[in-house]
Amino acid sequence: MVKQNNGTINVYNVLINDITLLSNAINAKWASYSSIVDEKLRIEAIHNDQSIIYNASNGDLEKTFLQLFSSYGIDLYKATDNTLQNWSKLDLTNNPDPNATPNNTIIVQPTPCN
Amino acid sequence: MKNIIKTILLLFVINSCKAQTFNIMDYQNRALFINGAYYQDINSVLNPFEGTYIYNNGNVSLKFVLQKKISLSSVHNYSEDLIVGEYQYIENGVEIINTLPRLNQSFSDESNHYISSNLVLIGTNLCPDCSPNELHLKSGLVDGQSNNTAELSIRKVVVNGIEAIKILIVWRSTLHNFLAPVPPHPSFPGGEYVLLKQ
Repeated sequence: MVKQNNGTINVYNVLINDITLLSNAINAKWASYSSIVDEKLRIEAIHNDQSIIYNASNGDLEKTFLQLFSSYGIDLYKATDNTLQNWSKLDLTNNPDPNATPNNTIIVQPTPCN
Repeated sequence: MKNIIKTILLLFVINSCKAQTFNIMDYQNRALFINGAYYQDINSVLNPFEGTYIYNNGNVSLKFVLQKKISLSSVHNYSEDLIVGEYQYIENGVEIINTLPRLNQSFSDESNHYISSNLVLIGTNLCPDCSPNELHLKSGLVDGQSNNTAELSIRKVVVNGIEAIKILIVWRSTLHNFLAPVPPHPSFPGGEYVLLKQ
C-alpha cells in the first residue's frame, strides 16, 4: 500500500518471476557501489541515488519503481478497485504522444489482468 | 596563420576537457549520473542549512553540525556540492553517541559522513507541512554505533526569532533471524526535534 504525494492510496503486488535474476541484479547493484566500504553508508548511497531518480520523474512512484527494478526479474501489479479482485500489470512503454515533453517520453502502461 | 589554428585547437581541447556543470536542482541531468560532471549548488540552496544546531530539553541534548563541501563521488566519478554532517546525543548527562570528530576526517568522497545530502526538495513533496515554495533537505542518517540507518528530513524554521532546523528522523526497520539475538536498537530515539542555531 503506497500513498502518493497527492494523497492517493494505491495497492501494489510485486511478483518475482525469476529469483535468480533478482538475486544477481541485487548482488550486481551492491557490487557496483563497492567503493563505499561501510555497508551502512553503501545502503545510504544506493537510497540517495534512487531518490534522485524519484525526483527526476517528478514523484511518479510507479514509473520510478519500474525504471529502477523492471530488469530485476519482477513484475509490478496494481489493484484497480478497493476489493483487490481486479489488477493491472504495469510496464514502461514509449509515449505515443509526439508532443510529449522530454520528461515524459516514457510512460507507465497498465494492462488489465482480468 | 599556423599559430592561430594551433590556438583555436588548444582552446577546443581545453573546452572539451572542462567538466560539464549542472545545477543540483536539475534532477533530469542528475539522474543520468554523468561521469566527470560537476553537480553544483549554483543557486546556493544548500547554504542556509549550514551551521551548528542544538536541541535541549533538560534531560536530552542533540547536536547537529552541518557543513557544505565539494565531494568526489567514488561510485559515479563526478563532483558535487553536498551538505555533510555529524551529531552528538547526550541523555541525563551521559554521552550516548558522538560522531562529531568525524568532521575532522578528510574524505575525497564526502558521502562517507554519517549525514550527507544535496537532495533539496520544493514545497510539499515528501513534506506535507511545508509551504508551497519552501526548500527542505532530504538525507539519510547513519548510526555510528548500531547497525541502523534512518531517513532524515531537515527544514529551516524560525523559533522566537532564532534560526533553527526542524528535523524528522525515521529509523528504518531491520530484518534479523528470529533465533539470533535481537540486534542493537538505534543509539537515540527517532521523531521530530527542533534544534536552535548556535
